[in-house]
Amino acid sequence: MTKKSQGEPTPPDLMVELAGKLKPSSDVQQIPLQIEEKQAFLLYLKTVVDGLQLQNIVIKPFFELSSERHFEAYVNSLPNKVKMPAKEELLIELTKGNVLLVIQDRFVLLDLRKVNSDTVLQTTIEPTIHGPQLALSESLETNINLIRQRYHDSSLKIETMQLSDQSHRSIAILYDEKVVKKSILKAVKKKLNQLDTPLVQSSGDFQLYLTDKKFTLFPNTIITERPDRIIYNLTGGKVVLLVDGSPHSIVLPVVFFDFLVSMEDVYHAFWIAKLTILLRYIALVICITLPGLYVAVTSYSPEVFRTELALTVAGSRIGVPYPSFIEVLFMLVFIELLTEASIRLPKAISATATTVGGLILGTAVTEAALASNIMIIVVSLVAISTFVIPVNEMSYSMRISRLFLLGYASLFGLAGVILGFLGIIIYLVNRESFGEPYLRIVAKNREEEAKGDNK
Amino acid sequence: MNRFFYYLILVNLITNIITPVPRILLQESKNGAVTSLIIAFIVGLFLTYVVATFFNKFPGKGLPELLKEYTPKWFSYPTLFYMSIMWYVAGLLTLITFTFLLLRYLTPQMSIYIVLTSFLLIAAYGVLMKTRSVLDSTEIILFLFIPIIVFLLIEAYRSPELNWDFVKVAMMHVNHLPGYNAFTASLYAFIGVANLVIFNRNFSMKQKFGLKQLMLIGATGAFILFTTYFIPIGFIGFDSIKDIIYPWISTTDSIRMRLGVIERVIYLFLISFLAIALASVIIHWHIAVQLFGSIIHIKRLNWKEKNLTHYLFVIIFLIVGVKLTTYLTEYQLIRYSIFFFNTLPILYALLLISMVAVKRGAKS
Amino acid sequence: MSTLSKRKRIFLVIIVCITGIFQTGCAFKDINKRAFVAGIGIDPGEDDDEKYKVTLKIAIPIGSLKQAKGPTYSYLSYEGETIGESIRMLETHIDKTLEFGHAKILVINEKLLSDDLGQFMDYFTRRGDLQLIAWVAAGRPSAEQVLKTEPETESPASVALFNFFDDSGTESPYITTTFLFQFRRDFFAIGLDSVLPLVEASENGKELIINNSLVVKDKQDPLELTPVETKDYNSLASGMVGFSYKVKHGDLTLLLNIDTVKMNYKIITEQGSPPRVDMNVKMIGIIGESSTDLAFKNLKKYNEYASKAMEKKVVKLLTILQENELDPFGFGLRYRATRLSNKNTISKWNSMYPNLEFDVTVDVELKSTGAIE
Repeated sequence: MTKKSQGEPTPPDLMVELAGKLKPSSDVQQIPLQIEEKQAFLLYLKTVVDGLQLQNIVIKPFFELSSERHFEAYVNSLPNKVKMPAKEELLIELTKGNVLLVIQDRFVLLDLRKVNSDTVLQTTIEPTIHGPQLALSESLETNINLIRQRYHDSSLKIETMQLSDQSHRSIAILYDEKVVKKSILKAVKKKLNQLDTPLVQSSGDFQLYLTDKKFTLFPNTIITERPDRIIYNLTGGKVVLLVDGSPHSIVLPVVFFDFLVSMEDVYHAFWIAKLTILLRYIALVICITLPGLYVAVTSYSPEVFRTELALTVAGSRIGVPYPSFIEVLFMLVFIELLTEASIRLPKAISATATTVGGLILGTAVTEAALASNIMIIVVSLVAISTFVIPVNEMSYSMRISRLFLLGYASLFGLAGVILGFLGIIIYLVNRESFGEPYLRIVAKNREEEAKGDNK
Repeated sequence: MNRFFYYLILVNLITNIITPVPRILLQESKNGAVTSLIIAFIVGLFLTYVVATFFNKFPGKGLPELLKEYTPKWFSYPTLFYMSIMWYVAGLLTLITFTFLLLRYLTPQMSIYIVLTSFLLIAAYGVLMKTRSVLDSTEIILFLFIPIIVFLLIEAYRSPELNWDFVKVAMMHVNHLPGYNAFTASLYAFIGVANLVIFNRNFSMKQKFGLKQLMLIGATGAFILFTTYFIPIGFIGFDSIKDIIYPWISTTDSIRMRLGVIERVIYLFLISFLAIALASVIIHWHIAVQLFGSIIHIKRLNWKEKNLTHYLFVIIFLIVGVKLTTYLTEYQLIRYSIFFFNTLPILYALLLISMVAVKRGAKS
Repeated sequence: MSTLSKRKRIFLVIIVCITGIFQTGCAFKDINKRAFVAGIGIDPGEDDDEKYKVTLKIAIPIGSLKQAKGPTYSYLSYEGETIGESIRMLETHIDKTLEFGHAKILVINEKLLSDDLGQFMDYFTRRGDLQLIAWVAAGRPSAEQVLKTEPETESPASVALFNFFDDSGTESPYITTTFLFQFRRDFFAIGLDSVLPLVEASENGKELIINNSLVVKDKQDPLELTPVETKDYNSLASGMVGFSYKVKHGDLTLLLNIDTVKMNYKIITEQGSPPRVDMNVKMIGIIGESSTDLAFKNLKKYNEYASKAMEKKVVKLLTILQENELDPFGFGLRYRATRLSNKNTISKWNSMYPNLEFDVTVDVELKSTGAIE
């Protein structure tokens, strides 16, 4: 394959070809190593390879060992050695931080990658008081390490694969062989193989590609940053996907109730946990129905109130120029803006935004009779209830569904609120997440009682 | 039997409160309502037992499949057609009565079309769901609203204004011969078991159905029938109950929660029974759609690998529903429902005949 | 699956469209555009041509309850041939929609009670939006005056008249509480007559007094029960407590504070003996006031004195009712409830009631002589 000549060493053709393809990137390094009879070539990208390791593991021994044969044997026994891929994928491997080494016309690929994102982060999205305080990192290997270290069981299987998009990211499929449902695993793998997407950036967009439907309101998977939630779900027979470069994992399939589980529940005493769960469901109901209920009751059936309350509400609405549903919509938009603003702003300023928005504007709005006092209470209650939902994506979905319910209420009154609420429920019941029903009451041997059918 | 079987029966038992059944029964209160109730209870329980044990022998199969397999076409097709119409009407009855209720008591100034739209949009989606999802939705609806209904009944029973002397006066009319109208109306409460004609498709395991299960159904049924008939009498009085169009609305409006969030119990009643009515309409119409679908299948209506025959049925259902609801008066509603209830024995007879036919076919 | 999301999209579009179109529809009416009727009063028409005069008490919402000084109500009156017609006309007298869902009190002028009550009760029960748990009361001197009374203790957004009846404010056995549904039920029932509280408005329009009640029967002048009779009736019929009984025995005068009353009775019709009612009353209480020193060991004796005195009182009340052919306890209903129905049940009872004998046993159980002996 290659010509061998004394003096100036010539790299093998393949290496020249590869180097040519990588040019004109400035970080391409093609280094010949030569001393006496020994000769080898290195090809790597400087920016993704750990230089110190390269020096210690490859270059130094090359000059110390007596012959090429010794060096080759040494290299072959290195733990960093990875399987040689096909020629086409070699370039991808190089960009990942692997080093191509040629000794005696033999090609060896060594994993000497430098990852700067393997620090384990603090939990920020799903904080708990009693649970672990550390989340995942942005490196796939570190993440697998974190999970392995918490789940010492040989039945935990980790399969890695590479996406075929532009980023060629590695992803890992984790599952517990003993409890995972085979059909789900098969469905997930099939989906992954069929995946045809231009670019995957993170777990967030990756999970969207996993769902079939384009227009969805409710999340089909859970994205979590907590290793304990991952373990909790693995033991529950679920499949976990990790994407390289993303500090979040994807858990699937999900049922609706998963979104209302906070890991804190596991760490509390029975009654405390049950009470907080109950509280969360109450918050859920408040958050989606209250704006609708306000409109329905004030504008359609005020006789539902107690007399005193009806008079109070009527009194507080004196001078408000808009019908109730515009009032609610106005305040809801306002509160959404406030939430959105405090997410986007730097942490130092966001507190100011909430104060200005929540306190000052709220008071001013009632003073100016743009909205009633009761309305301010309703909206604040709704906002707070939304924050109680432990998984962020679900609280986003609920923010939208309450608008639907608000519409249904301003259209059909009190009956509309109930019907709209039931409509959301039956919609969720009819949904599926990777072949598993989305919402249904969990009970023992339910599969035996009524089998599913696919019409 | 499994849970879903009880749900089907329970939904029907509860829905009977908001259909014209109480009105028809109370009309007959000075005649043979009490005896009719007792006879209907026994007959209903017996039919429940027969139908349940029959379907238990063919796990995972609905009536259309069984009929097609074991009986000749000239029998199975008309039978299924008749049944699907009956189920459609059963759903329609609940729909119309409840629409009238909402119009009169919740949003009196609202247009009837708007009330119907709000209900039918959701119901149409529900009807087109998978059978399995219908069962799951029913479970969730019951889970959410049964506590409210139980609370409501407790409030009714412990209300100091409930005068038991009136109830006893009504009971003392046990010495009258039963009437056919009252009998068939109360039989309606027990029709829930017939929902197995479709839902048995999902019950693939052999179930145990013995005395214990029958007693459970019997006790619940007896309690609900008793409540349906006697509680309104305790609140509205025995001598003036005939004039009341919606006895249960007047009854619940007579209960007061002194310290509740809502003072007037009637709104809790309307809200929780709205949910139950929705579940009932979805169940009945789902069965009707499936039954129709088993005899009529239009191949040309394919669109994106999906057959749209069921959608067509639902659209027809909705149009007929809206037309009838706007056309009927309350008086006609009561008259036609009496007529519908009167034909229930035919439905049962047909069901029994087909069961016998299937059994024979299966044996040979 | 794709059809599903499509369906939902179409669904949402429809919703948005209809929202726009129907939003201003007729049923949508904001709460501040409604006038809440708190009470309805009915008087005979002052004008000879008109039969009824309807008065509405309308609660006016105030912006800030905390700063409001007193109650704010507005009153509307109209005379008309029928009640429905008058209310329709009243709707033209006000800029807001009349909302009857909160009308919790119905005051009827006592003069109207001897008329045909069935006719105007028809309107209230036929109207779906009027609550059946509204209280019904008789008004003196007129329903209008009762409604217009604004006691000093009345606070904004809370109608004083409600507090009398709803067991959350004052609770007294002198106040009979009758709901609309109860009134209708008892009025039409055979073998049971309804009792209405009588609300008296004082001359200066600042005070309401409710301690009498009226026993109402169709086409018959109502019988007025004195406060003591009202109290006795309420305690026996509905077990209302928190009252005192005065017992005299020689120079000993005792005031008993009763906290439990239980009454049950049986109608006994035996061959050979006249029909009678066996009534057992059990009262438990303590001594609240005494004219002389009491001995703790004598409690049993006081029990006997009290029982004797009570029996007399109860029999007196029952006899007065019987003489007037009124039956608010529902003896007739009980008679019907314990015998299999036949055509003659009612007529049999009607001939039996005037000759009914009352056999009353009162068992007073005094638990203590109070804090002192």
